[in-house]
Amino acid sequence: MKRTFSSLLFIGVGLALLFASYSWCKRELNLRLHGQPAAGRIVGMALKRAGHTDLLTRIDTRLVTTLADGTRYVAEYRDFVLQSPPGASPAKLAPVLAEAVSGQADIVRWLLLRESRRLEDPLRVVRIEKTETIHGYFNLPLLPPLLGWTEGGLVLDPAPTGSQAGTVRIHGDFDFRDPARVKASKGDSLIAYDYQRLGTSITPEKRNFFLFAEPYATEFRPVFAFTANGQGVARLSHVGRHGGPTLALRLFGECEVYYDPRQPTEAVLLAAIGPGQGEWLAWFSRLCEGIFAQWGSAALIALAGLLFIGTGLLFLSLLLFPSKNLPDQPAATP
Amino acid sequence: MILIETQHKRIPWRWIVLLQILGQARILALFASGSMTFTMRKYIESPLVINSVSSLDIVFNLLVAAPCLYYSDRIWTRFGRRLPFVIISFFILGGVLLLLPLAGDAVPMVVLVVLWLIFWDVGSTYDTLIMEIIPPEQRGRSSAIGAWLFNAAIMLSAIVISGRFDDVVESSGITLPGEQLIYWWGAACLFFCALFVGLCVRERRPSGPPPDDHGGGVKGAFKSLFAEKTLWPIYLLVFSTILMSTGLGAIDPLLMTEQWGYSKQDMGTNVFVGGIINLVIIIPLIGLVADKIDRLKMFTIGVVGGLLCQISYYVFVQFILPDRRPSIEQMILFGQAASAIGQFSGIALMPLLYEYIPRDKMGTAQAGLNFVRSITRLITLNGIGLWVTTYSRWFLPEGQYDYFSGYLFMILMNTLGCGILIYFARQVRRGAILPLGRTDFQPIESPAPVATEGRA
Repeated sequence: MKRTFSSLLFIGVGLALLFASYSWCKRELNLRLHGQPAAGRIVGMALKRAGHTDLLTRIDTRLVTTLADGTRYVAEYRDFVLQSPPGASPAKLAPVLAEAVSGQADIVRWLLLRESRRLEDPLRVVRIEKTETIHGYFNLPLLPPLLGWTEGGLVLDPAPTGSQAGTVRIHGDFDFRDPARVKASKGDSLIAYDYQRLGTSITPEKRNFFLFAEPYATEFRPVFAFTANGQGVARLSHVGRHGGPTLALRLFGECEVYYDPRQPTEAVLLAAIGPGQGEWLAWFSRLCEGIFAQWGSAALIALAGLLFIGTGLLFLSLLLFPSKNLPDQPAATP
Repeated sequence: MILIETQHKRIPWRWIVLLQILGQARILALFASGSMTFTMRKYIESPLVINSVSSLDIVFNLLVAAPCLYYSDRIWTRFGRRLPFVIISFFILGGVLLLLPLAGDAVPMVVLVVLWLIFWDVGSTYDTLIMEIIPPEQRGRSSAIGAWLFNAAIMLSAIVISGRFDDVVESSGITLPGEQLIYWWGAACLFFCALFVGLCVRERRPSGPPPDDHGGGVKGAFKSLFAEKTLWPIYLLVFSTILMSTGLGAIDPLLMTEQWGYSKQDMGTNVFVGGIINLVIIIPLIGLVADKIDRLKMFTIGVVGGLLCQISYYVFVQFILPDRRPSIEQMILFGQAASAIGQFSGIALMPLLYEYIPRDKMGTAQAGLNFVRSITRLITLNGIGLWVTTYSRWFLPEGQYDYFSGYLFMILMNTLGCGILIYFARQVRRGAILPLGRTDFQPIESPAPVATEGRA
């Protein structure tokens, strides 16, 4: 009796875990399997902190690069897309600028370090001044899951009480022209840094750009937008990440959306990783993150359930079909 | 028969499958605990403190695991002699993992980590319990099943679990941070283990009496480890090999994530791809080569190759890569090269060691080797934490850490280890150290007549 109970207990716990797994991802799974697919885009980022949230709706970036021969180039970006006329800077600079525009401070440091090794080239980059202007809504007491979306961008209408529409401006000056000075600052090429939040200068947790200056506790939640029945819909994603943006759901990048045609606000986003290009292991990581950030939790709960059920069934099989492999039974009493 | 019991001559294969499932659930919980470095990093900045807390593991190996194993041989309760340790350990470890993501502050977090380390060692009787269930003639196939499942657990952990630490998922009105998911998944595995051994495993009292305590207690046993002078050179040899295998320890993941800016998922990919290469290419290749090369030559290749590998990786990253940041492919390439070379010395080490251990002192030597290994690892782990902290204070802006500088410490330790090894080899050549394990060996040439005599 006790033996049957033990077997059934394992199976019961396993089934409960399987049910919990299904309940946990029921909405997302139903939308993925039965929803209407649509092309979507990550149009904003919510930064949830204890007590308040900031909603980023647009990033303007200005990059001023100085070459070793003293030439300076200015490139303007909106949402990481180049706005300056083509040909305004040499084509050789394009990969450097592409990395610097969305990268964190360390990316810019590494860029300059790489460039500094090409001593013979007068066209190597020796200084990068990066200025980010973040537009959005700040100090939101609560962020609704559904947001307004027009072709102009994300809107909160009406903006919640206590919140403020405004800008954050961050300026970082990375200069590698004077090796002695860089050495004196223990290899750090960041010579000037300023973080202005709603017009007030503050010291963030990390001397970095907007998406990378936060403490670990800050939660980054992408906001995605898509068109359903000719109407624009913007929604807060159900997946996010602590300490920084996710690898797979890139700000202003594309994503796949599955929505309920009867109620288009009911939607789920999936990472659109696309075909592998360049570093295939980095692509593989993004692919895994895209899949498991969404389904990993449900899969692990289900796996725990299967572990219990498998064990229960094996015990049950021993009860129903006893093994002949125990010549010295019955067991001695302890 | 449903209960799994100890001391059977032969057991059903389904028991073995069940025990392997149990073992892998325990391993998955151990892998989940691998995220403790990141949990500690949330509250503790200094690599020295992080590595020191992690190195307590070795202290508890000596202070907790050894006595628990010792007493489990000598006690009997109505629940058995190994089971009480195992069940208590599983329940407390599960509780620790449940509470760990909710700690909220450095002090409770460190207390929970220390409890984890202590009770993992309390449960060290687990392996003995399993060996008492699986009879010797079935252990080979059981190990093969275990090895296969172990690799599957590594892959699962690398690709699905380790990258989830920073994630946040909201569903059905509940927000689940990845850190909680990982630890609670680990806790679920441990409660599964507790339920399994609590309900379905029974120990049968062994027929023989418990082994004698030869007097002197723990102090006497400790003294006897070092009283035998013929074993000192062996301890020196092991000391050198542990120096040579110094690693970054708990700060290793921080090198990849914090210093080189890779995500935890990238880290998982690194382990996953490296693991597959290891499984498919390196291990079979080493297996093919192992029996064709002289052991001492293999050991030398392993030792010198390991040192060269470390130096070349350091030079490559620090002086050849323009931004001092290797790609994941480069990390895998160097990692696999080091792993392959490491396996050379690993395979050769044990037979080589036993050539110098007199056969009548193997037990004492084994205990002494464990002690020397633990103490050396304790010193090197804390040493590397201290090194990285001091180096970073001198050469980096405040608040930044150069975890890669730990490679300098590793190279230094490796060189020191090589020096000791050269000294050992010279002493052997001079005849000051004798291969007593080989020269004292008196094989029984023909056992058959003895058996006949016995019967007569």
